[in-house]
Amino acid sequence: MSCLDCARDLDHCHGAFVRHADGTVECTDPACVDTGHERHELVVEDHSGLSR
Amino acid sequence: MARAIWTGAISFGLVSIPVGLFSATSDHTIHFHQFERDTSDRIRYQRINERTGEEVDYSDIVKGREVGDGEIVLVEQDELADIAPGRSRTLDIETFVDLDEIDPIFFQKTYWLAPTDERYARPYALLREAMTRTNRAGIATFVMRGKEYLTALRADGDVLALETLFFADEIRDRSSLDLPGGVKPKGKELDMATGLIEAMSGEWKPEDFRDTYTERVEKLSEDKRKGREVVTEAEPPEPTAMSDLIAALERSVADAKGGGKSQKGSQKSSQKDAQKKRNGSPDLSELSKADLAKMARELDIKGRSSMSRAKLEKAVAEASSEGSRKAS
Repeated sequence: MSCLDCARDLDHCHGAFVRHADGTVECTDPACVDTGHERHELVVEDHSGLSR
Repeated sequence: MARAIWTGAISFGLVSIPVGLFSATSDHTIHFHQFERDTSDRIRYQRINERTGEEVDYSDIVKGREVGDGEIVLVEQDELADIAPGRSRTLDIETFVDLDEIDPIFFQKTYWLAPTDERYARPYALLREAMTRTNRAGIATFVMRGKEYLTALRADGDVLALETLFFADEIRDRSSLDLPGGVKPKGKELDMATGLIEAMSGEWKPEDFRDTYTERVEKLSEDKRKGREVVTEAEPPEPTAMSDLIAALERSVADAKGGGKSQKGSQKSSQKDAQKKRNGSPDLSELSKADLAKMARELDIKGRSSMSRAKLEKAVAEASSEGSRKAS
Protein backbone atom coordinates (compact mmCIF):
# COMPACT_ATOMS: atom_id res chain seq x y z
CA MET A 1 0.00 0.00 0.00
CA SER A 2 1.71 3.21 -1.12
CA CYS A 3 1.22 6.53 0.68
CA LEU A 4 -1.17 8.91 -1.08
CA ASP A 5 0.72 11.96 0.18
CA CYS A 6 4.01 10.57 -1.13
CA ALA A 7 2.32 9.94 -4.49
CA ARG A 8 1.18 13.58 -4.57
CA ASP A 9 4.58 14.92 -3.40
CA LEU A 10 3.04 16.69 -0.42
CA ASP A 11 4.96 17.91 2.63
CA HIS A 12 4.04 15.35 5.30
CA CYS A 13 5.50 13.08 7.97
CA HIS A 14 5.15 9.36 8.58
CA GLY A 15 5.76 9.72 12.31
CA ALA A 16 2.96 9.81 14.86
CA PHE A 17 2.24 13.31 16.16
CA VAL A 18 1.91 13.12 19.96
CA ARG A 19 0.06 15.87 21.81
CA HIS A 20 0.78 15.68 25.54
CA ALA A 21 -1.63 16.76 28.28
CA ASP A 22 0.59 19.75 29.19
CA GLY A 23 0.26 21.13 25.66
CA THR A 24 3.70 20.09 24.45
CA VAL A 25 3.92 18.18 21.22
CA GLU A 26 6.42 15.87 19.63
CA CYS A 27 6.76 13.49 16.76
CA THR A 28 7.88 9.87 16.95
CA ASP A 29 10.04 10.42 13.87
CA PRO A 30 13.40 11.87 15.05
CA ALA A 31 13.86 13.39 11.60
CA CYS A 32 10.58 15.31 11.70
CA VAL A 33 11.30 18.96 10.92
CA ASP A 34 7.95 20.60 11.57
CA THR A 35 5.55 19.69 14.36
CA GLY A 36 2.46 21.01 12.63
CA HIS A 37 -0.25 18.42 13.34
CA GLU A 38 -1.66 18.79 9.84
CA ARG A 39 1.54 17.29 8.38
CA HIS A 40 0.77 14.04 10.16
CA GLU A 41 -1.66 11.30 9.23
CA LEU A 42 -1.35 9.71 12.67
CA VAL A 43 -2.16 11.90 15.67
CA VAL A 44 -2.05 10.59 19.25
CA GLU A 45 -3.53 12.39 22.26
CA ASP A 46 -1.48 11.58 25.37
CA HIS A 47 -3.53 12.14 28.51
CA SER A 48 -1.22 10.17 30.78
CA GLY A 49 -0.02 13.25 32.71
CA LEU A 50 -3.48 14.61 33.53
CA SER A 51 -3.97 12.84 36.85
CA ARG A 52 -0.59 13.89 38.28
CA MET B 1 10.20 26.44 -3.16
CA ALA B 2 8.39 25.10 -0.10
CA ARG B 3 6.30 21.99 -0.60
CA ALA B 4 2.57 22.31 -0.08
CA ILE B 5 0.88 20.35 2.69
CA TRP B 6 -2.23 20.00 0.52
CA THR B 7 -3.01 20.64 -3.13
CA GLY B 8 -6.39 20.99 -4.77
CA ALA B 9 -8.58 23.60 -6.39
CA ILE B 10 -10.62 26.51 -5.10
CA SER B 11 -14.10 26.06 -6.49
CA PHE B 12 -15.71 29.49 -6.92
CA GLY B 13 -18.96 29.23 -8.89
CA LEU B 14 -17.90 27.67 -12.17
CA VAL B 15 -14.32 28.89 -11.73
CA SER B 16 -11.71 26.41 -10.53
CA ILE B 17 -8.28 27.62 -9.36
CA PRO B 18 -5.61 24.95 -8.64
CA VAL B 19 -3.71 25.93 -5.49
CA GLY B 20 -1.26 24.64 -2.91
CA LEU B 21 -1.70 25.14 0.84
CA PHE B 22 1.21 26.32 3.01
CA SER B 23 1.45 27.00 6.75
CA ALA B 24 1.59 30.75 7.39
CA THR B 25 2.79 30.48 10.98
CA SER B 26 5.34 28.51 12.93
CA ASP B 27 5.55 27.91 16.64
CA HIS B 28 8.79 29.19 18.18
CA THR B 29 8.24 27.40 21.50
CA ILE B 30 11.23 25.40 22.66
CA HIS B 31 10.27 21.76 22.24
CA PHE B 32 11.80 19.72 25.03
CA HIS B 33 12.59 16.07 24.51
CA GLN B 34 11.85 13.58 27.28
CA PHE B 35 14.67 11.85 29.18
CA GLU B 36 14.84 9.48 32.12
CA ARG B 37 15.96 11.49 35.19
CA ASP B 38 19.73 11.40 35.96
CA THR B 39 20.49 9.85 32.58
CA SER B 40 20.94 11.07 29.03
CA ASP B 41 18.56 8.38 27.82
CA ARG B 42 15.86 9.70 25.51
CA ILE B 43 12.29 8.51 25.92
CA ARG B 44 11.25 7.23 22.52
CA TYR B 45 7.88 6.33 21.16
CA GLN B 46 7.57 3.28 19.02
CA ARG B 47 4.58 1.86 17.21
CA ILE B 48 4.40 -1.65 18.53
CA ASN B 49 2.04 -4.48 17.69
CA GLU B 50 0.66 -5.21 21.15
CA ARG B 51 0.41 -8.97 20.46
CA THR B 52 3.79 -9.63 18.83
CA GLY B 53 5.78 -6.80 20.42
CA GLU B 54 7.20 -6.08 16.97
CA GLU B 55 7.53 -2.51 15.65
CA VAL B 56 5.10 -1.80 12.80
CA ASP B 57 6.12 0.15 9.71
CA TYR B 58 4.11 3.25 8.72
CA SER B 59 3.04 1.62 5.47
CA ASP B 60 1.48 -1.27 7.42
CA ILE B 61 -0.58 0.93 9.75
CA VAL B 62 -4.27 1.42 8.99
CA LYS B 63 -6.93 3.15 11.00
CA GLY B 64 -9.62 1.23 12.82
CA ARG B 65 -12.43 1.66 15.28
CA GLU B 66 -14.36 -0.60 17.56
CA VAL B 67 -17.98 -0.95 16.54
CA GLY B 68 -19.20 -3.05 19.48
CA ASP B 69 -18.95 -6.67 20.68
CA GLY B 70 -15.20 -6.56 20.15
CA GLU B 71 -15.67 -6.11 16.43
CA ILE B 72 -13.19 -3.78 14.76
CA VAL B 73 -13.55 -2.09 11.38
CA LEU B 74 -10.30 -1.22 9.60
CA VAL B 75 -10.14 1.49 6.96
CA GLU B 76 -7.44 2.37 4.43
CA GLN B 77 -6.25 5.93 3.73
CA ASP B 78 -7.72 5.86 0.19
CA GLU B 79 -11.07 4.52 1.45
CA LEU B 80 -11.38 7.59 3.68
CA ALA B 81 -10.49 9.82 0.72
CA ASP B 82 -13.09 8.06 -1.44
CA ILE B 83 -16.02 8.80 0.90
CA ALA B 84 -15.40 12.52 0.44
CA PRO B 85 -15.60 12.53 -3.37
CA GLY B 86 -13.84 15.62 -4.66
CA ARG B 87 -13.73 17.26 -1.24
CA SER B 88 -10.21 16.08 -0.51
CA ARG B 89 -9.18 17.85 -3.73
CA THR B 90 -11.39 20.96 -3.73
CA LEU B 91 -12.05 23.94 -1.51
CA ASP B 92 -15.72 24.56 -2.20
CA ILE B 93 -16.70 28.17 -1.49
CA GLU B 94 -20.32 27.92 -0.39
CA THR B 95 -20.98 31.53 0.57
CA PHE B 96 -19.26 34.87 1.15
CA VAL B 97 -19.62 36.69 4.45
CA ASP B 98 -18.49 40.01 5.86
CA LEU B 99 -15.07 39.25 7.33
CA ASP B 100 -15.83 41.31 10.45
CA GLU B 101 -18.86 39.16 11.23
CA ILE B 102 -16.68 36.20 12.17
CA ASP B 103 -16.12 36.13 15.92
CA PRO B 104 -12.36 35.66 16.62
CA ILE B 105 -13.23 32.65 18.80
CA PHE B 106 -13.77 30.65 15.59
CA PHE B 107 -10.27 31.24 14.15
CA GLN B 108 -7.91 28.29 14.46
CA LYS B 109 -4.83 28.65 12.24
CA THR B 110 -3.74 30.59 9.17
CA TYR B 111 -2.41 29.15 5.91
CA TRP B 112 -1.50 30.68 2.58
CA LEU B 113 -2.83 29.56 -0.74
CA ALA B 114 -0.72 29.96 -3.88
CA PRO B 115 -1.57 29.01 -7.47
CA THR B 116 0.15 25.80 -8.52
CA ASP B 117 1.05 27.26 -11.92
CA GLU B 118 1.43 30.70 -13.52
CA ARG B 119 -1.48 29.84 -15.81
CA TYR B 120 -3.82 30.23 -12.82
CA ALA B 121 -2.48 33.61 -11.70
CA ARG B 122 -5.32 35.51 -13.39
CA PRO B 123 -8.33 33.82 -11.71
CA TYR B 124 -6.34 33.78 -8.42
CA ALA B 125 -5.79 37.55 -8.61
CA LEU B 126 -9.40 38.08 -9.66
CA LEU B 127 -10.79 36.29 -6.59
CA ARG B 128 -8.28 38.06 -4.31
CA GLU B 129 -9.14 41.54 -5.64
CA ALA B 130 -12.88 40.93 -5.57
CA MET B 131 -12.69 39.85 -1.93
CA THR B 132 -10.53 42.88 -1.07
CA ARG B 133 -13.04 45.17 -2.73
CA THR B 134 -16.01 43.66 -0.88
CA ASN B 135 -14.21 42.97 2.44
CA ARG B 136 -15.76 39.52 2.30
CA ALA B 137 -14.41 36.10 3.06
CA GLY B 138 -15.33 32.93 1.22
CA ILE B 139 -16.59 30.19 3.53
CA ALA B 140 -15.41 26.83 2.25
CA THR B 141 -14.95 23.27 3.42
CA PHE B 142 -12.34 20.75 2.42
CA VAL B 143 -10.84 17.48 3.61
CA MET B 144 -7.17 17.07 4.50
CA ARG B 145 -5.64 13.88 5.91
CA GLY B 146 -8.91 12.39 7.03
CA LYS B 147 -10.33 15.50 8.66
CA GLU B 148 -12.90 17.96 7.36
CA TYR B 149 -12.05 21.64 7.84
CA LEU B 150 -14.36 24.62 7.87
CA THR B 151 -12.42 27.57 6.49
CA ALA B 152 -12.59 31.24 5.60
CA LEU B 153 -10.65 32.39 2.54
CA ARG B 154 -9.66 36.03 2.63
CA ALA B 155 -7.45 38.43 0.73
CA ASP B 156 -4.27 39.43 2.58
CA GLY B 157 -2.33 41.88 0.43
CA ASP B 158 -1.07 39.96 -2.58
CA VAL B 159 -1.91 36.53 -1.21
CA LEU B 160 -5.02 34.52 -0.47
CA ALA B 161 -5.06 33.44 3.16
CA LEU B 162 -7.06 30.53 4.50
CA GLU B 163 -8.20 30.51 8.11
CA THR B 164 -9.29 27.17 9.52
CA LEU B 165 -12.31 27.69 11.74
CA PHE B 166 -13.89 25.75 14.57
CA PHE B 167 -17.30 24.30 13.80
CA ALA B 168 -20.05 25.89 15.92
CA ASP B 169 -20.44 22.76 18.07
CA GLU B 170 -16.74 22.91 18.96
CA ILE B 171 -17.18 26.22 20.81
CA ARG B 172 -17.76 25.46 24.47
CA ASP B 173 -20.85 26.64 26.32
CA ARG B 174 -19.88 29.63 28.48
CA SER B 175 -22.90 29.14 30.76
CA SER B 176 -20.80 26.71 32.82
CA LEU B 177 -18.62 29.67 33.92
CA ASP B 178 -19.43 31.49 37.13
CA LEU B 179 -19.64 34.95 35.56
CA PRO B 180 -20.51 38.10 37.53
CA GLY B 181 -23.63 38.82 35.43
CA GLY B 182 -25.39 40.94 38.06
CA VAL B 183 -22.46 43.34 38.57
CA LYS B 184 -22.84 46.48 36.46
CA PRO B 185 -19.87 48.83 37.01
CA LYS B 186 -20.70 52.52 36.78
CA GLY B 187 -19.74 55.97 38.05
CA LYS B 188 -16.18 56.95 38.89
CA GLU B 189 -14.79 53.42 38.71
CA LEU B 190 -15.99 52.93 35.15
CA ASP B 191 -14.80 56.41 34.11
CA MET B 192 -11.36 55.74 35.57
CA ALA B 193 -11.10 52.31 33.95
CA THR B 194 -12.20 53.79 30.60
CA GLY B 195 -9.66 56.59 31.03
CA LEU B 196 -6.93 54.04 31.75
CA ILE B 197 -7.79 52.12 28.59
CA GLU B 198 -7.69 55.35 26.57
CA ALA B 199 -4.34 56.36 28.12
CA MET B 200 -2.86 52.93 27.36
CA SER B 201 -4.26 52.74 23.80
CA GLY B 202 -1.97 52.58 20.81
CA GLU B 203 -1.57 51.06 17.37
CA TRP B 204 -1.29 47.30 17.02
CA LYS B 205 2.43 46.65 16.44
CA PRO B 206 3.02 42.89 16.77
CA GLU B 207 6.79 43.35 16.46
CA ASP B 208 6.74 45.22 19.80
CA PHE B 209 5.88 42.00 21.62
CA ARG B 210 8.16 39.05 22.18
CA ASP B 211 8.00 35.76 23.98
CA THR B 212 9.99 36.55 27.12
CA TYR B 213 9.14 33.17 28.67
CA THR B 214 10.86 31.30 25.83
CA GLU B 215 13.85 33.63 26.26
CA ARG B 216 13.94 32.70 29.94
CA VAL B 217 13.76 29.01 29.10
CA GLU B 218 16.72 29.51 26.76
CA LYS B 219 18.61 31.36 29.51
CA LEU B 220 17.77 28.63 32.02
CA SER B 221 19.20 26.02 29.63
CA GLU B 222 22.33 28.10 29.05
CA ASP B 223 22.81 28.79 32.78
CA LYS B 224 22.45 25.11 33.64
CA ARG B 225 24.88 24.19 30.86
CA LYS B 226 27.47 26.58 32.29
CA GLY B 227 26.76 25.56 35.88
CA ARG B 228 25.54 29.04 36.83
CA GLU B 229 23.05 29.61 39.60
CA VAL B 230 19.49 29.70 38.36
CA VAL B 231 17.63 32.79 39.59
CA THR B 232 13.90 32.39 39.97
CA GLU B 233 11.39 35.08 39.07
CA ALA B 234 9.62 37.28 41.61
CA GLU B 235 6.12 36.26 42.65
CA PRO B 236 3.24 37.70 40.59
CA PRO B 237 1.41 40.72 42.12
CA GLU B 238 -1.32 40.11 44.68
CA PRO B 239 -4.93 40.62 43.49
CA THR B 240 -6.14 44.19 44.09
CA ALA B 241 -8.33 44.54 47.21
CA MET B 242 -11.78 45.85 46.31
CA SER B 243 -11.39 48.82 48.66
CA ASP B 244 -8.19 49.82 46.80
CA LEU B 245 -9.70 49.65 43.31
CA ILE B 246 -10.12 53.42 42.79
CA ALA B 247 -6.67 54.16 44.21
CA ALA B 248 -5.09 51.50 41.98
CA LEU B 249 -6.87 52.90 38.92
CA GLU B 250 -5.81 56.47 39.77
CA ARG B 251 -2.17 55.44 40.11
CA SER B 252 -2.37 53.44 36.85
CA VAL B 253 -3.80 56.40 34.92
CA ALA B 254 -1.10 58.69 36.37
CA ASP B 255 1.60 56.17 35.40
CA ALA B 256 0.20 55.80 31.88
CA LYS B 257 -0.03 59.57 31.39
CA GLY B 258 3.37 60.17 32.91
CA GLY B 259 5.23 58.08 30.31
CA GLY B 260 7.15 55.45 32.19
CA LYS B 261 8.67 52.62 30.23
CA SER B 262 9.79 53.12 26.65
CA GLN B 263 7.16 50.76 25.24
CA LYS B 264 4.39 52.67 26.97
CA GLY B 265 5.93 55.84 25.62
CA SER B 266 5.84 54.58 22.05
CA GLN B 267 2.25 53.44 22.49
CA LYS B 268 1.32 56.90 23.72
CA SER B 269 2.94 58.60 20.75
CA SER B 270 1.16 56.14 18.44
CA GLN B 271 -2.08 57.11 20.09
CA LYS B 272 -1.31 60.78 19.53
CA ASP B 273 -0.56 60.06 15.88
CA ALA B 274 -3.90 58.30 15.53
CA GLN B 275 -5.62 61.23 17.24
CA LYS B 276 -3.89 63.66 14.89
CA LYS B 277 -5.15 61.62 11.96
CA ARG B 278 -8.70 61.78 13.23
CA ASN B 279 -8.50 65.55 13.70
CA GLY B 280 -7.61 65.93 10.04
CA SER B 281 -9.45 64.08 7.33
CA PRO B 282 -8.70 60.42 7.94
CA ASP B 283 -9.08 57.83 5.24
CA LEU B 284 -11.84 55.73 6.83
CA SER B 285 -10.87 52.69 4.79
CA GLU B 286 -7.52 52.61 6.60
CA LEU B 287 -9.03 52.71 10.09
CA SER B 288 -9.59 49.65 12.24
CA LYS B 289 -13.04 48.60 13.39
CA ALA B 290 -12.13 49.81 16.90
CA ASP B 291 -11.20 53.27 15.58
CA LEU B 292 -14.41 53.45 13.57
CA ALA B 293 -16.44 52.34 16.61
CA LYS B 294 -14.83 55.12 18.63
CA MET B 295 -15.71 57.69 15.96
CA ALA B 296 -19.26 56.29 15.82
CA ARG B 297 -19.54 56.71 19.58
CA GLU B 298 -18.33 60.32 19.33
CA LEU B 299 -20.83 60.95 16.52
CA ASP B 300 -23.58 59.24 18.56
CA ILE B 301 -24.50 56.89 15.71
CA LYS B 302 -27.44 54.71 16.72
CA GLY B 303 -27.08 50.91 16.52
CA ARG B 304 -23.27 51.16 16.20
CA SER B 305 -22.56 48.27 18.55
CA SER B 306 -24.10 45.71 16.22
CA MET B 307 -22.58 47.11 13.01
CA SER B 308 -19.94 45.31 10.96
CA ARG B 309 -16.77 47.20 10.04
CA ALA B 310 -18.12 48.00 6.57
CA LYS B 311 -21.39 49.36 7.98
CA LEU B 312 -19.51 51.40 10.60
CA GLU B 313 -17.34 52.96 7.90
CA LYS B 314 -20.41 53.91 5.87
CA ALA B 315 -22.30 55.29 8.87
CA VAL B 316 -19.29 57.33 10.07
CA ALA B 317 -18.74 58.74 6.58
CA GLU B 318 -22.40 59.77 6.32
CA ALA B 319 -22.54 61.24 9.82
CA SER B 320 -19.27 63.13 9.31
CA SER B 321 -20.36 64.68 6.04
CA GLU B 322 -23.74 65.59 7.57
CA GLY B 323 -21.92 67.23 10.48
CA SER B 324 -19.69 69.20 8.09
CA ARG B 325 -22.73 70.43 6.15
CA LYS B 326 -24.42 71.61 9.36
CA ALA B 327 -21.24 73.36 10.48
CA SER B 328 -20.93 75.27 7.19
